[in-house]
Amino acid sequence: MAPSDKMGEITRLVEQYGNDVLRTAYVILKSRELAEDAYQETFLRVCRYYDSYRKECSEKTWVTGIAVNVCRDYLRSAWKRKVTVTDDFSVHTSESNTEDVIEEKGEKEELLRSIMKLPDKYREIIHLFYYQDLDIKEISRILKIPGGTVKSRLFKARALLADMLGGEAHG
Amino acid sequence: MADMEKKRNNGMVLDDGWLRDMYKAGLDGLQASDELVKTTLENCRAELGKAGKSNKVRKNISLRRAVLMFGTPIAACLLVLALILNFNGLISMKNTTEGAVPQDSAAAESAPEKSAAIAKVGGNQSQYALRYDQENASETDKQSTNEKTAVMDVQISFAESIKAPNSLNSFEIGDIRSKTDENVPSDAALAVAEAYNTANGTKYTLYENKTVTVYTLKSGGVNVQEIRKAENFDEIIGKQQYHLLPLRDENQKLTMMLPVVESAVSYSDYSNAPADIVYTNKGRTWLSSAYWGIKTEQLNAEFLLNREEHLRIVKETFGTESINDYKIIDIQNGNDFVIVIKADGAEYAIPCFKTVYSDAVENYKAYHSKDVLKSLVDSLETK
Repeated sequence: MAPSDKMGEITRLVEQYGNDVLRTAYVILKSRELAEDAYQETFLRVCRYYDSYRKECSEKTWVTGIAVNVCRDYLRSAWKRKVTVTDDFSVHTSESNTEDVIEEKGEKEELLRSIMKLPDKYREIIHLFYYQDLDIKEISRILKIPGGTVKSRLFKARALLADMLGGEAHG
Repeated sequence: MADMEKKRNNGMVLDDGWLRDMYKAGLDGLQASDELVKTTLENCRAELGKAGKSNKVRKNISLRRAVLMFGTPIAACLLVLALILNFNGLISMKNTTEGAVPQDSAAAESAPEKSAAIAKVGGNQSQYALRYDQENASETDKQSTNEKTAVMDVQISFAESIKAPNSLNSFEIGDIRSKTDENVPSDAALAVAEAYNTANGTKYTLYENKTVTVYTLKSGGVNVQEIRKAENFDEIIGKQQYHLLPLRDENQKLTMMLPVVESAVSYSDYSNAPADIVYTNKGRTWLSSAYWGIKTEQLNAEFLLNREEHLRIVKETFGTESINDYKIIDIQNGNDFVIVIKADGAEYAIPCFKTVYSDAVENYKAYHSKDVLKSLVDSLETK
């Protein structure tokens, strides 16, 4: 593929999956700033490995897989383990202050905070399943764990979330 | 909230549809800025350009040139391999490739009387500086042996990092040995900067003699109430410090600052940490990350590092005579800093903000500390 065509494809991928990559990185890394670094690194790797993408999985699964790997590299770093960046995880909505909007914002924030408090392995499963709408097989491919483990982690993650939010899990 | 209460009462909090919708809506506001997209695409274009060039070189290579290019390294590798096999049993390879950490006490005793000073980036095991220090070898080996087990005890505090809104937070650093009265030794600074360049393909040079030590806020961050109560910055700072290595680009512009800490434990397992920069020399380990440079856009880093200028501003504004204390404090994860100077029994502060917005104080001007603390409270409350 000519470089200009490839750049066109990369631009399309950035536009199509950019926000999803940023949100995935944010949920895994718990920091907007780190997520932005991971976003850039993800698309650099997309450039590097573009020619080796064999379409064995969907484009979305491929890009998400790269993003998850980048985030895991960040988390494995000893520097990362020593240095903690914190964020307030507030939900950004419109400036409108009607009661309904405030209530809904409160609900979303409570849910987001609860998800952010989950251990890493449950948080990434919740994100891939509920936000990215990936199925068990795709999650299994991305996280390199058996489908059964994905299911059990998903079950456990739901139970933990339900516990935090004060209710029962129904999936 | 009412909806959630209703669902709670019905025991239906986590039905999949509700969870999916709420979660997606919660993350909706997080979007890549135009600037982030632009920078990313520029980096991608540069990456593709680089790949294009290297492909071109490869295509034009002749057999004769290939023999010249690859023959010598292959011969050298074979020679090295033969030497390694020859010396096997005398030298623990792990000792020389992973810093001065012997595998066990027997290995420490049989190792040659040398310790390796290495700065490397974790995953690719590249070695950037290799020096030998015979004088300190025994002490280093003993210390490293003692610290070997401590490597496993590095605290992982990330999972507990959720903080209340309206607070300020600095980097929180685990097992460090960085001291305020000591800066990064020049050999460590140079090696870390070089390792950063190799990992990122950059050509930064170290801005020598401009490395600074930075204080951090209390562990867990400080909230509005704590800042409001504080009479001075000493009441909100913590016990930890890190160092900032300033890096200049090819045009001598200060474009990056790289945080570095001295690790209190030796560090030997790089296999899962592709971005770590680790430099070990004379039993001391310095740690940074190839991912962790602080970009100086929107932050006047030249000013931040200019101690003389800070002292001059305070002297000019308040007519101070004798300086008693000087600190640079990171108040927001390497984005916002305050320079705090104690002089003639009073405390003054110079804001160097990137993300904190305040009408009450201006960047790069001196104020009484209390005024800057108040501006931080206002900024957080407005947020």
